[in-house]
Amino acid sequence: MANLTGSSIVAPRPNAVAREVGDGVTVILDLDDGVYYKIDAVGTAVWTLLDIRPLTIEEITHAIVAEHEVETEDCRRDVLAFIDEMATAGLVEVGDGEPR
Amino acid sequence: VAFSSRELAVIEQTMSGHGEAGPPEAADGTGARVSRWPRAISTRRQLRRERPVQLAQPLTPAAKVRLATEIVRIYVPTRARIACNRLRLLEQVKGLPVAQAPSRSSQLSPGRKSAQAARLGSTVERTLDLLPTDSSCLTRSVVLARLLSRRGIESSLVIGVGSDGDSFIAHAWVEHRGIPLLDPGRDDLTRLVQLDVLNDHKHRWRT
Repeated sequence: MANLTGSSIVAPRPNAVAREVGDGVTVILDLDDGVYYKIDAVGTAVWTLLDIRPLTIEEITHAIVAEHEVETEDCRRDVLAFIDEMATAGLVEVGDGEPR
Repeated sequence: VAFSSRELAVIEQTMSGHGEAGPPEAADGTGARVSRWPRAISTRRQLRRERPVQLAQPLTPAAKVRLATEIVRIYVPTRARIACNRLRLLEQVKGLPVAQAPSRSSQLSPGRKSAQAARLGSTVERTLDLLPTDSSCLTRSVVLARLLSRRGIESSLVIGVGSDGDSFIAHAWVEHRGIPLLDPGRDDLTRLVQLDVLNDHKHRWRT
């Protein structure tokens, strides 16, 4: 996976369709290979943000910190790991962002 | 639950036959024949001239064989792609064969289209049940959606998800005008995605 930084821009790929199924759990179907993924409540929060518009890792982190009791550094690390997994699975695409 | 073309035909015949039951009863419920009777007779004659609508014409044995062959020819590559995790649903729909000229089915009335869609749904189920290989709900749904599209009949391929205890379950089926043509599974499934295959061979996703 390409190096992710705070300014990396993340957007869902068109082949990924998602639906929240209750208890904060979201199911994502990759239409390319027919594989289903399940993400938990925090993952759902990230996906919901991305569903509105592409965001940088930093923007995602700040949005999550504003809603949850978590240290910014811990949240950034988890968001990076989550986005890395999602990108490896082909559910999101990551681009180089312009510094904001 | 999918309903059969026969049931649809019965509904249509019942509607067409409305008013054929006999002379209208008097308003007081005595059943006395009243002066509206001659008008009722003329209505009956008119209805008799118009034969009950056959929404889905019976298939000849040769047509049944052709249809079953077509289903199997769609099924084989579809199953192979799904088995290899090369679902690529969007591509499959984009790659649907487009008739050079509008098919006869695309010019049918909505009622006849629904009847034909229902019959094709049950035919796909019966045909694939006969095969020694297994066919998942998704395979059946893709086969039926392609079959309908070839005939210019719009449909929606729906994928629903849910949980069974700790297990995750997913199910696919096809609808025509909101009516399931294949078994829609449990009531508590959440609709994950709906692929509308339009009768002009375009499509769109809805979530």
